[in-house]
Amino acid sequence: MDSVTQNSQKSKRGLIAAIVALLLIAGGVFAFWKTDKNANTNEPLNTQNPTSSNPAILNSRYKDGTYTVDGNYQSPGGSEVIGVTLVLKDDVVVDATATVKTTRPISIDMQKVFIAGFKSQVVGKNIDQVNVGKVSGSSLTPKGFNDAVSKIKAQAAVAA
Amino acid sequence: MASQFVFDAIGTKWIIDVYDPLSRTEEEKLLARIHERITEFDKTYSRFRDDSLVMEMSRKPGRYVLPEDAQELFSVYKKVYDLTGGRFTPLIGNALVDAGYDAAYTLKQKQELTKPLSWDEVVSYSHPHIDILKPAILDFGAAGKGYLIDIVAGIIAEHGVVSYCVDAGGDIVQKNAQEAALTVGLEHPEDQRKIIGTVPLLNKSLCGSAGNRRVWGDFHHIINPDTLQSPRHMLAVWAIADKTIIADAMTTALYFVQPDVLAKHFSFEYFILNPDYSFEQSPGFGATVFT
Repeated sequence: MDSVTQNSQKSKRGLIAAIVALLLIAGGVFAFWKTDKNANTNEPLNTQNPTSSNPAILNSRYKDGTYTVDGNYQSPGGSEVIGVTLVLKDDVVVDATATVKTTRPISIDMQKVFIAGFKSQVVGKNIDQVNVGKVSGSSLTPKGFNDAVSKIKAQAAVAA
Repeated sequence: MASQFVFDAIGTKWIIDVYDPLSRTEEEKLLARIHERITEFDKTYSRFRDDSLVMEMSRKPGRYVLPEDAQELFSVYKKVYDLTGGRFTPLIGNALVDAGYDAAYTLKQKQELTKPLSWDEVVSYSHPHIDILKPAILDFGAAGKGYLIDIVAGIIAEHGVVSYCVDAGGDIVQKNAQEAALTVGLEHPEDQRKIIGTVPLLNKSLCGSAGNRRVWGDFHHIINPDTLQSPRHMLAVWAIADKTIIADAMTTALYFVQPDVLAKHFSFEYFILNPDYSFEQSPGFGATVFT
């Protein structure tokens, strides 16, 4: 491995370690996912995968709200800062965002890569696999609208 | 025995569930009243029928008399108009029509879009009189359906029903005296066979908006009056509020401003799906998301 790649690996590790440390240290320890709090219609979402082996799940409650902290870490270039905002509700992280706060060009790239990857992305599940009473999305269109769309697609196909 | 009414109206499919038992006569009476009220609303506010008051006003400036229900509708519209710097506007009607979303669904752009006039340039409203100062097509698509859902819910409640669900094209109000929540699937905006999560709904209204169904050319059902293009920075948005008119208004307003701008004036929860499939939801929205 050449020195540039080695440095970027070190920087990445440093960054991830800083985030973990930051999230563990800032305000104590957050419960990243709910243990069986049953009989609760409000299932919380799972925004974070555990990044450390031991996030202790506390019984004590954290005040609901939005928490913003700066995380400090060292890269081969020197001191770096990344901003992290967590939204807590019922002891669960319901939203998380991170912002680039560093100024070194390589570190900015690293932080951007991290930020792009760390937010969970939704995946779809087939409706028949899930028990739902109803579905909500954009408004169902009337036959007239759907017919119009079909006609236009047909015209476009002919013209192509 | 629960009753269910299914019909098409105002350009979408309605499914009304009444959980309280109703006699056959009561069912018929209720359904008739609902249809009557929807037709009345349609005849006032629809830009999809030539004989509506809104279309009459679009052709000829002058003074008109508006029905009682105009007060709440215009009040919400004006408030959200002001909060979004005029981007949430009923005056987007002409642009929608020029883009192709007209009464005949031609879905072909007719001409260059022009920026909508400002509220004060066209509308001077002091109930029951409205002065239309310049000809313009008023479009109430952003919150009109939500408002009509509230009106229909009110009729159902007036008939003594306490547990019911009104679903118009996926905008839903649910009331349940037994406190049984309805589990609603959040439709995947790019694959209608799928959902991206579920949210429980109890004694609240839920509205959703996405640019996937009413779409043609480069447009979808929302046009930004500043850019005269349809916004692409969000894939889908949902809002939950105590009233359907508010939930409906918020789903459109959120395309134009950040949630906190609206949260100072309205009480609502939201869920936003971004084009990269990341998402954000307000703490009280309560969705279980599939990741």
